Amino acid sequence: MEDLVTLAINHARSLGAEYAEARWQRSSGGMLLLRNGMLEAGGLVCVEGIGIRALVEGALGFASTNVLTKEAVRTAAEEAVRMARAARRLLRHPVRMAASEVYRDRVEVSEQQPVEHIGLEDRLKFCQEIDRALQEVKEVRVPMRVVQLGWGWDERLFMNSEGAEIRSRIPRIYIRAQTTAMHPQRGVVQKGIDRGGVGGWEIVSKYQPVEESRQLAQTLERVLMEGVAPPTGRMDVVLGSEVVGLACHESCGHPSEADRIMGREAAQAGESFITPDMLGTRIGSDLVTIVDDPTVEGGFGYYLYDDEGVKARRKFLYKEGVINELLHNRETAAALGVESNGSARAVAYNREPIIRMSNTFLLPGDFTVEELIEGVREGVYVVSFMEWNIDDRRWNQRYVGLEAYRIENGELKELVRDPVLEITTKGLWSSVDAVGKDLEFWAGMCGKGDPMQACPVWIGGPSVRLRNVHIGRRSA
Amino acid sequence: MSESTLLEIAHAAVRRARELGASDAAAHVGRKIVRLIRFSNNEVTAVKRWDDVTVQLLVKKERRVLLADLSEVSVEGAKRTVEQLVERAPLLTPAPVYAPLPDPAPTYPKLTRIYDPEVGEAVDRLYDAVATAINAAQAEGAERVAGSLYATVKERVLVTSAGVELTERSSYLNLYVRAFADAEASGQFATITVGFDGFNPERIGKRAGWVAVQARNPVDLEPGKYTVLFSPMVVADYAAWTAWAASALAVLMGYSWFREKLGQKVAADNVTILEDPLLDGTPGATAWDLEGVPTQRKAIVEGGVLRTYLHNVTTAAAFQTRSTGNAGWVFPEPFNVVMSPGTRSCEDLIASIDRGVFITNVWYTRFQDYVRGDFSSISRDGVFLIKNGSIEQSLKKVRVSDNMLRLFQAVREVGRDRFWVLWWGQEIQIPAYVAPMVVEEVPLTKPLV
Repeated sequence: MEDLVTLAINHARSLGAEYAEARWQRSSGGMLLLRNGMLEAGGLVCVEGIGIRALVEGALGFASTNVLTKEAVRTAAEEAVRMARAARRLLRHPVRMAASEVYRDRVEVSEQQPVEHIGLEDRLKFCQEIDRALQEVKEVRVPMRVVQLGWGWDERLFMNSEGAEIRSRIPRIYIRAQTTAMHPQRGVVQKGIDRGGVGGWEIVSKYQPVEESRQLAQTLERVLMEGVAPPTGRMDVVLGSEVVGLACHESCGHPSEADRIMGREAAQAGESFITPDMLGTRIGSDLVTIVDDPTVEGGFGYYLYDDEGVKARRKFLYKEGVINELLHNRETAAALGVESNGSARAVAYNREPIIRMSNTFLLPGDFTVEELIEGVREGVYVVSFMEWNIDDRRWNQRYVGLEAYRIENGELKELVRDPVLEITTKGLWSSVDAVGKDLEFWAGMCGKGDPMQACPVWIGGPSVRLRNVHIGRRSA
Repeated sequence: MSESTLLEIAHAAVRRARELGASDAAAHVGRKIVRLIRFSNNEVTAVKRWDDVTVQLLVKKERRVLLADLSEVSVEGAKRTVEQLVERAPLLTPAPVYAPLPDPAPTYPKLTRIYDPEVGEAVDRLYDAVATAINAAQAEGAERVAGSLYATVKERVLVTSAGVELTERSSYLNLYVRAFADAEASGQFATITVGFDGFNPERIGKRAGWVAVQARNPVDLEPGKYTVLFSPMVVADYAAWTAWAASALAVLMGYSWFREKLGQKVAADNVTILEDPLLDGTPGATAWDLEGVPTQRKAIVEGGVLRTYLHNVTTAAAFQTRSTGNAGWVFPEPFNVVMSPGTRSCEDLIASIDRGVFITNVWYTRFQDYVRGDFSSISRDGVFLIKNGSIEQSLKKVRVSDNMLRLFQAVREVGRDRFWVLWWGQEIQIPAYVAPMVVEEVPLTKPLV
């Protein structure tokens, strides 16, 4: 494959590109989808091709092909150059690529327990075990259950006209389970689990999804049978790590993406409340340090080199409550006069690398969850969520609790239904007065880019305590 | 790669599956050539072209259902993947419901206006269209303009073990434009057409620019229940969700508020939502589904009553009914959503509202519970206070916090002028032909911090 990748770069260069890069990528794997314990479908995927990016007089063109012949690769290189050249008339600010050290390396993540060593029938039995666990309820019905297991290998060869050459092979696995609990008088609740990581079957074993599914089913039953309307008004709130993880991703990671800040995503994923001159501005309490770190071993968003060949590292996005660093690729880094911090990712050969998060999380503190709760006189503990959304500048967000409890004098009381935390980014992070030590991660697929690139990420955090925020109820 | 090569690959895969004892097999082989021009800050920021051939395979053996997606575009590659699927079949459990792939229909609908060859060839016209859209938005007073233009040509073949052999070529142009009059005052509009006929980038840019300029100097809205005029951008999002929730598998899997609602009122009398793949000359039109069943026009909701779920042959068997021609081998899906219009213009709808809110665009429609249909969306572009029949004031972002069934049951009026809409942030990515819509008592919220 090296020959075709080299051909792509050389051909683009010969046509006038001042910079060219090419990436061969093969994504292969499989999945099992069960509905109510029965296999709805099993699947295989193997998608492979080459993507080429050419910088021509300040315009970037991207083209790809999955026909792996010299002729097709040459044509794709010509298209990348042609498209870039045609774009020049609508270009006012030529693209530059920030200087970056040139690496030649190989990254190969081994699987302690390769998925292929677990028989397909055993994988299926495992999913069925999860489905049985989802049925361990007494007073409610669970008539709609979905379990999905997916596994895959992502292989890449990245080269560019500066001499970079990065080979990687990264295995990923994920498990999802979703269930609906129903009761004729009490109504309906829904929730799922999403776990995943980089590695082999050991990732699945680590999370014990069978036990987690059992607990999920029993929790939903209790929410449905015992949940009452939440208190409303200003109060203290303990947010569980699942909610904190999502908030880190949505109201820290996304607004820190430099392409959004520069307006590149204005019509798609949106822009940001952060402007380049806001580095050093306070956005939260000094207990809030949120990082994006692709190098966390086992993380669903793991990588060691990005898709521009830049070495990955931990980025401190909010540091002790202050906006500290943005996520950059080489283009935005050049525009803002800094070095790329290795945040360019592409999900497939036919997608251009764009700025993405990886494993994004709040650094843990010293409190146990019990200690966080003990410090609340009147409030709510929101363990998990379902409905959520955030505006396109990443300022106005909402999380609706799924498993949530009223707190009185430092003790958990009854379950409450659908408490609504609707808050600004600064309001959220400025209200943090204590951070737990229970750091935990969830797997997710983050959507961004045009065409859409659903990118594997980890969201994580410990529980936190918020002082004096507003809790509402769903009004519909 | 020619149509005959695509057919050769498809036939080889199906033949091999049958040789290996599969009861049913299908191969859907397609080539898609896409050009994309992205722009922001009034200039082009990325141009892309991709040329992909993909092979999708379905194999059923002893009631086991196996699927594959591959990009290895050769007869040998397709046959090898079929062998892997068949080899895995005994390791799996039978599907809960089995239905054989159907025989070919005696005739298929003739769609003669779903392909415009210019879409794949006229690259300069694409750049002209982008320039036109940017200029139109700026002429309205917008400072910055962003968006995307897709030019897509698709060629695909379907071969099944039941004797189906079908081909189809189609194209579309999809443009969406977002204009900014200042950092937070924005407007957006979108269009999708089969080709250059009816494609009007100036109108899209102008509309986005106009909304952006009107959205300057917003004030806070007091949370509460309001009469809301939703623009076609918003209606497209909610109508596409409605069509998706009508998929029989969404119903079975717990992702639909239409469970046990067939024949019941799920919307106001003035709401009729069709799934109409036979509307020739429109972007989602197609003559056949992935099982080789001819597509058909159907009312999902007619006069407010839920008339049908969307089926493939398997879900149809589970519900003891007939396929509606909406396969998806696993998940039945809509192709083209069409909402029946009312009689009055958008201006007349505004004039009919004493006190209300006009929401021009939303995104992030997310559910607390799909079975109940509780959801919220957040506004993205201009939001306006309507007082005494006119737009009085720009408003800051608000959140629609409602329930899908309640919202459609509270539709007071549907507008006359329909638009074909599809854009990046529409959660369910199917073209929708929709008009503005007035809904009563919509709960709107905002952060209280």
